[in-house]
Parts: sequence; structure tokens; C-alpha cells
Amino acid sequence: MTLSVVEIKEANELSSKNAHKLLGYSSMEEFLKTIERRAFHMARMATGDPDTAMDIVQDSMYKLVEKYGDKTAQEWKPLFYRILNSKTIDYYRRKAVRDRVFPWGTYVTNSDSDQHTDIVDLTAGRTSDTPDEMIMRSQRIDRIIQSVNALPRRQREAFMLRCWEGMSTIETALAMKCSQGSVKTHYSRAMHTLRDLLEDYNYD
Amino acid sequence: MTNQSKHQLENSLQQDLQHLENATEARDIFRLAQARNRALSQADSEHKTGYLPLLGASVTSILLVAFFFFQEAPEKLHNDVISDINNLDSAFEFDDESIELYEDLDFYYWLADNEQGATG
Repeated sequence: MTLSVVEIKEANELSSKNAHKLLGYSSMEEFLKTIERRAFHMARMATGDPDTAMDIVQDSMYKLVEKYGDKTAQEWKPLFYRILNSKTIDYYRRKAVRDRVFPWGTYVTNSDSDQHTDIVDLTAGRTSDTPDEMIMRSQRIDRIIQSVNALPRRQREAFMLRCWEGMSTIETALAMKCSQGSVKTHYSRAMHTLRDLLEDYNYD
Repeated sequence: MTNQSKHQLENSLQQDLQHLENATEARDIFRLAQARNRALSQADSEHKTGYLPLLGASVTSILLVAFFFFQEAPEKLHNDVISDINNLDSAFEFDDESIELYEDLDFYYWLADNEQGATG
């Protein structure tokens, strides 16, 4: 049985609509709304500076809309995280050059911001947690941030995309520009390292 | 690490990270919304004005051509007019023989009439 061009087109449109339902977004604006906070926290963890993280997220959003707005909605997520990773690497490179040229300069590092973030800032305002639970959770988050920052860059990327973003191995491979096998290796190593670093982390 | 403990750790980390995400400060949420709107609007305006550099280059080149054309045109026009006047003058220039012919024109008319009368 052969399908006519119109039937194929209709089938594609239908699968596209279904994909939108599954993804939870159909427009670029909706997509950006769903990922912006997570992307911000990822960039913040990686750079240690909220302002820099904000710049990186904005640049990534801009580039995605400008260059890949015409791609299908399924492709946006891996592309966005690939851009975000590239921007983060660019930041590291620029920072390395700056540190070499101006070694006396004072720049915000992880120890200046995230690791010493006030616990109160990290707590949610509209939860039903008791104060004790909130403090414990905030302390756990502090430890997670420290541990994730201790991971090598590629392992951190694999962890964030697979565990936090919940992306599949294929999507993560696309975002990280590497093979699925490499993703599995990076992720496995990241989880092992985190397990060691968070030995007394209460996850039961 | 067993699969079960790995999944437990994953789930727990996911929950805490999700909590971190939900606890984003209002100031950061506002700045993210601004960044999103700026990215969407800038890309949109760039899409609309994408042809402007091409249009600008075309208009500039047309203006340049027109400028050079009109800058050279008066001189050329002036030379053309002068050469035309010279040609006109030369058209009205008579040599001595022609002037004599013109002065004796009445005589030649009379001679012609007489010859016609004699023959007719």
C-alpha cells in the first residue's frame, strides 16, 4: 500500500501534534519557559556567578531562536543545551585568559557565591515543608552543588542532562556532541563519584 | 553500585534539584522572563529587518552612481553645447566666393528672367 503525498503530510502533521502534546510545548516561547530556570541553575552551578549564568542563558536563548527557530520542537532541547554548554566553555576560556592577563583581578568564583549561598535564599517560599525540613533540604542542595562542581566538566554535563533534565541517552549525545557510549561512560562515572562524595547523603 | 541504590540516588538528587529549580528567587525569575522576551523580540525584529543591509547597500550604490553621473554631466553638457555652437557657426560661415554669389543674386535672377523671356 502506498501513501499519497497528502496522506504523508497529514501523518507528519499528526505526529508533530502528538509530539507537541508529549513534549508539553509547541512554541518557542513555551519551550523557553519550561527550561529557563533549570538552565539558569545549571549555568550558575557551572560558573558560580548568577549574573554570568543569566548572560549565558540569555545568549543561548537568543542563538536558539535566531539560528534554530525553524527546527522541529523535538530538536530544540538538545540544541539548546548544546549551545548552553558551548557558551559555558566560552566563559571558561575567557576567564582563563583574563586570569592569565590580569592575575591580580578579583573574579567571582564558586567559593564566592554558590558554595556560600545563604540557605534562606535557596529555600522555597510556597512549600508545606516544616522549617527543619527546609533547612535540611537546603543543606543537602548545598552539598549536591559542591559535589557536582567537583565533577569533571563532561561528567557534570552528562549528569545534569541525564539526571536533572531527564534527557535520553540519544538526546544527551546530541547535546554533548559525542557518542551514546561516551554519554553512558560519563554518566556512570559521574554517578559513582557523586555516590562517593555524597556518602552520608540521606536519600533513602 | 547496585541498580536499586543507583536509582534511589538518582531519584533523590532529581527531587532536590527540582526543589532548587522551584525555589528560584523572584528576582531571577523576572530576569529570566526579560531575557526570554528580549531573545524572542530581537530575533523577530532581526528577521523582519534582515533585508535592510541589502537594501541599504543597493540605495547607497545607486546614490553613488547618481552622484558621479551628475558631477560629470555639466562639464560634458558644457562641452557638447560649445561644440554644437561651433558647428552652427561653421554652418553659417561663408567663403568669399559665396558672398559674391549672394551679392550678385539679383543679377542672376534678372538674367534668368531675360533668358526665359527670350526663349519663351
